[in-house]
Amino acid sequence: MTPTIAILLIITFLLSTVGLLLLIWSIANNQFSYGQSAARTIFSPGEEGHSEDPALADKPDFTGDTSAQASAIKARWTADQSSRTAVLTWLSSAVFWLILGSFFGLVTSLKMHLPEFLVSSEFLTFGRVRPVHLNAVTYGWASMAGIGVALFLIPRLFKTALAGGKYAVSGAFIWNIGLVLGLVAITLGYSDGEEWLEFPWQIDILFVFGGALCAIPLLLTAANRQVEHLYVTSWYLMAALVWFPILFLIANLPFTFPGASGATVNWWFAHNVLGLWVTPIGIGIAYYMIPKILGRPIISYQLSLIGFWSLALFYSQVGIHHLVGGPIPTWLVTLSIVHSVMMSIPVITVAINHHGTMMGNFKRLKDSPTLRFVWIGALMYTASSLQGSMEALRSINVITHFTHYTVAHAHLGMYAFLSFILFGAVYFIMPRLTNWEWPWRRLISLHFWLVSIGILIYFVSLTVGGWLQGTALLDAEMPFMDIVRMTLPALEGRTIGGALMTLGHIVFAFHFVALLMRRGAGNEQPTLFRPAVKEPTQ
Amino acid sequence: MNEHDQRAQFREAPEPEEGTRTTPKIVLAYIAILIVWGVGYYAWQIGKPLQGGDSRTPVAAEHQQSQPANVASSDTSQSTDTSAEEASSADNSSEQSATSPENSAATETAETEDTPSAAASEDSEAGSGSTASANVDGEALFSAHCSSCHQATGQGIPGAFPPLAGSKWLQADPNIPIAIVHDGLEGEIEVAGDTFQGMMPPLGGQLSDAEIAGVLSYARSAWGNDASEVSPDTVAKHKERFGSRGSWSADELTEVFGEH
Ligand code: HEC
Ligand code: HEM
Ligand code: HEM
Repeated sequence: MTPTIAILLIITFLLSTVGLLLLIWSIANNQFSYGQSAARTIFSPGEEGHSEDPALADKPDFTGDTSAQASAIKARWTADQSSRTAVLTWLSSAVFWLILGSFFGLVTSLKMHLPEFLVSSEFLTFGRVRPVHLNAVTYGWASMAGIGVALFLIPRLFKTALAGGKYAVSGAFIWNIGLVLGLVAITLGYSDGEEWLEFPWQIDILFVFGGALCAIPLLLTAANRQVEHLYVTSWYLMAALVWFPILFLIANLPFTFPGASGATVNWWFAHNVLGLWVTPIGIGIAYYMIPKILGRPIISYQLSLIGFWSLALFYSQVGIHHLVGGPIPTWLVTLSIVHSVMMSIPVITVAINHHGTMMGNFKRLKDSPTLRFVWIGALMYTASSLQGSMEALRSINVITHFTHYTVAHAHLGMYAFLSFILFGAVYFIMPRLTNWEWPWRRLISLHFWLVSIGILIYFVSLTVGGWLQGTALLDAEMPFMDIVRMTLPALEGRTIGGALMTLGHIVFAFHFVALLMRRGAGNEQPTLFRPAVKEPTQ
Repeated sequence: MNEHDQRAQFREAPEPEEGTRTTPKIVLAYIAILIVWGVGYYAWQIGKPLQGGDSRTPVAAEHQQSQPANVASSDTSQSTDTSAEEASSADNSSEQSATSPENSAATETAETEDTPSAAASEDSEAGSGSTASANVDGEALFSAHCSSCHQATGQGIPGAFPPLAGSKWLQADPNIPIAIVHDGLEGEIEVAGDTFQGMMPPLGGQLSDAEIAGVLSYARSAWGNDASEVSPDTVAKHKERFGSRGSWSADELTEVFGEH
């Protein structure tokens, strides 16, 4: 790298970072007094400290007596009713794709240590089931559940009814058709051949349409909003909904990016799916659910600002850390590494905000399923991102690249962070849409323990196996086949962990369907991990 | 709309909001440290090659040099139990394949080294010829060199790799499968009613005569196939007749070896 390039990079870096800090400083100062008073108005009088915690039952009840309280409940009710059909459509589709994707994940995993498994048909070879898994869980489960939760949260956050819920429902249908066609195309061997972009571009048009049918109602809802101050969750959700269609469209433009520039665009996109799409959705949901369940405010508006804007600045350029060591200009790789490490700024500020709010309330994890899933998810966001920042450094990447370590990191992020938060959100949302509580407390526990133990086994075995594999691959004396054999226990461990996760998903889906069919006793009380301490006298 | 219907909305905590705590000093210090680090990291890259990648390149170069010896020694220990002479011949044949034949710079060196020992290899193989097939384990060779494509079951993968179970060419005159394995096969072929349009790589550079004979003998008698054993001498004769040539096509095979 020449000094000129380095100096240009340094100047750009300093200007953008310092500019960012100035921006945040000025928003924080101009809006601060305003932000506080606005916050007071959304916090209806007498509501503070009220929550779903059964242990808190002797505190003065929130009775909804005062007119302010009554109107807060009314606003919530209106918001939930308006988004009901749309949210249910997106969430049920997501649960279906989760099950399908899990089975394909399990098959992929089995094939890594039983290469003879299901090879008699070309449709079930590794090169096809793996992308089916990846696309089913990313665009089916994670994206559809994320959009579903966003459709639920945005009307609530803006205290208004969802505008054009019908469009969002048809969006879900088009999105589902796109998924079916795309996954069939991959199975038949018609893939675009770039990871995360396997769906043939002709089919991608359906996703752009389906997504737009969802984005437009949300933007209209935002325009109708009844609140002045935008709570941090809405920044993340709206930003993700604006960023993703643009990224998806650019990356899928056919015939535009050949060769090495194609690989660069490919990974720029793939990381932005993670960083500018699923991550803001996950963080946004956590920002909503944690204070919601605890009934106390997120500790710091300033930290929210730093977290959001630095994510927006740094995340969009980190994609090339997937190509460290590839035939890509050094300056571009260096840029992505610096930004990957700078990403620890939003990660740490968000972590302080989330976990600082939790301080002193950890006992609540014992009863609230939503809180337990969401908080563990938030914790794993911190963990996976800090791990990612390390992985991007050249000295570590030379070991971990091309190993199972990356796959462990991928599932720590996509699963332990994102999927956990989505599970928590679904547990929160469904009773509010169906007026029916989750039928069986024990099934929630079972789901929780299966997926938690599953992902723990998954992550630990692949992390250890992948690291050993990576160091062995650098040892020129070591025959390749010996290294392959060495990783077998880790791969078998992954299958065990994955099987537990898949079982957990079956439990979850069964419970979801049971709730939709209104099975169970029809409680008046929320379904928590422990039965409520005091049963209210009816 | 009564209280029962709204109970979930009713019991929950208010919409969340943000508190007013200020940014901890330690976060600001951390941001400052990272900015300094970032500038330093950019500066540190000055003088690195424009397409430097990571530090993998020197490792890879080292690897290339030491690998052939390595592969060869594991190969020989697996397939032959005989003299050092033979070990050195296997050594050479695998070195040739490791430094890809298309790469002219590499072949130049390989050729100069190769000439004397190529003769040696023919000698030793001719010597051990008739017994060698007893020493090689056809099944192990098959699983190491063929099963990744044709599968351990010999069923291949529909649409991609032809089945070997029941393959006519495999069970025809041994010269045909020897030609396919030694020199490769390309272009459209028809096997058991399905057409394949693939490319089978030449394996002559990786397998000794005895190994080719062994793996073919195994494949010609496994999965219900029933054809004669192949002797290493036939492989040696094939090499004499055709030298090193490119891949065969279906037409060339029928032209040279006749209808099967
Ligand atoms: C890289 C994958 C690959 C490997 C490894 C491989 N083959 Fe093949 N083989 C093919 C392909 C592809 C074809 C079909 C070529 C075509 O379509 O022209 C083929 C064709 C054949 C045929 C002709 C089948 C027929 O009936 O026409 C034989 C025999 C054969 N291979 C034997 C072997 C043996 C023995 C080995 C191991 C020493 C082996 N192959 C290793 C890919 C492979
Ligand atoms: C600061 C944050 C993060 C950084 C710097 C980071 C860094 C990295 C790096 C360097 C790799 C590539 C490893 C390689 O190929 O050698 C990677 C892979 C991956 N990361 Fe992260 N990561 C971060 C956060 C996350 C999060 C939050 C998620 C999930 C939501 C995630 C999901 C993934 C996935 C799925 C892959 C694998 C991509 C593939 O190969 O298909 N990462 N990450
Ligand atoms: C149910 C259990 C699951 C199992 C058994 C499983 C298994 C696998 C396997 C075997 C791979 C291929 C790894 C490779 O090529 O080496 C993979 C990749 C991947 N999976 Fe899963 N998976 C599961 C759940 C999920 C879920 C729920 C998500 C996301 C929400 C997810 C996201 C991904 C991603 C992003 C990749 C690509 C990673 C990479 O390229 O590094 N998986 N999974």
